[in-house]
Amino acid sequence: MTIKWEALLQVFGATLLVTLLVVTLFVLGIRALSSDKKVPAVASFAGCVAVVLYGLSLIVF
Amino acid sequence: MDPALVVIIVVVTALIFDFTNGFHDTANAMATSIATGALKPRTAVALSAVLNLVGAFLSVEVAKTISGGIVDDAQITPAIIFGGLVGAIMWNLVTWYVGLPSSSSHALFGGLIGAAWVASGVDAIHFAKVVDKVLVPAIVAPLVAGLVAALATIVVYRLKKAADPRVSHTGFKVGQVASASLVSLAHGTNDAQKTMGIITLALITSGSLAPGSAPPTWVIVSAGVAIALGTYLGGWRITHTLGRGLTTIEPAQGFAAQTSTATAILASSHLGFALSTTHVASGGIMGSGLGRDRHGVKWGTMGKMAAGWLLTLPAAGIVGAIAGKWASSGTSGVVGVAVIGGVVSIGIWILSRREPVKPEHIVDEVAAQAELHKVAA
Repeated sequence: MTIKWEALLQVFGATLLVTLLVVTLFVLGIRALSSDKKVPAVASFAGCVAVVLYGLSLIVF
Repeated sequence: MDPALVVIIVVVTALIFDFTNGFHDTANAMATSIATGALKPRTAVALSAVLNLVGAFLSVEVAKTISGGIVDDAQITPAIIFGGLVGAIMWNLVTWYVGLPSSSSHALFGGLIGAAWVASGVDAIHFAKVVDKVLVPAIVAPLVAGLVAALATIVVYRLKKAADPRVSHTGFKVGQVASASLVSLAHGTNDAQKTMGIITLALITSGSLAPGSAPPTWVIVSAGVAIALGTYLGGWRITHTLGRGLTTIEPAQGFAAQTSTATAILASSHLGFALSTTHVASGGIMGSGLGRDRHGVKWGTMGKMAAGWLLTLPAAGIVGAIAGKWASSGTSGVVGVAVIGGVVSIGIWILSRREPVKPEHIVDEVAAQAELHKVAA
């Protein structure tokens, strides 16, 4: 029995960082949108889209 | 029995398993979007079905071993595969009937372990791998997804206070649909591959394909269609449990849960610690419930689900063992297993018709839940 602790920690770390990054960007985007700040809103959502595209590339390749 | 006939039976059974896998797992991707009203139920399952189908075609990475080293592939015969599949299908149907989200991969592993054990002996099972690949991930997955979803939910609720509630309500629904779509796509890539692997292996063992062949196009198409069809038919019973039974779900919370689910699935399949979609999604919903309100979680439902996860392997294993042993005995065995399996499946389906769970039920209850929220506010 060999539990891959390192891989497990990596999965946990990556999940935590990426999730927090996406949700933070998304909420900041929504905040910017509700106070009508177009540029920061677009920038935040673009950040989310970039992460999603990276996720897609992981699925496809 | 004519080997070609056994292979045909295995192919058909594998596609049936793929179909049950689809309707068992719709909820993982779509339960939160349906619960918050981000998507209408029928739209949600249609979207998920299409993405599962697309996912089946996307990946070129073929599951070379169906068992991931848990059973010795060299000792597997088509009859054992058949027995294992029957065990997995039976467990999937029973858990679907009671509305329990359980891992289809674990059901398949359980069925194969049981069938290989009685047909080829205990040497055919690598128990250390069972611990590594099944037991540990089953405990770890909900914890990882739950913890991340809880933190993400706390962050989202802190930060969204400053936002216009109408903007954030609509915004999070859109975000939810995006993250749920990613989960569906990843699911299609992983789970449809499993069935393709099984069919390909059956074709190789019978000599129809050269060893090491990639799945033929008809295998990819039929596996993709079977899982998409299953997904489209919904699995409302399990959606009901995940969307309603664990905790009440608001759009911002659903967004946090789905984002952590999508991330955890992608991270786990690419960093070499495979986690079950079902366990991740359930943990994510649970964690987001805790993150929003520490008292807003139904531990009883979670306890039942956890018990179901522990039972998956032995239960599917026992059925797989009986089915595999009998099917290995020859033509009459294969026919007998197929007939009994069919009768039990139809029986469960008839039972489910007596108390059907339809999409309308989930939506009605969600509407009632939304009313409660308004009164409380």
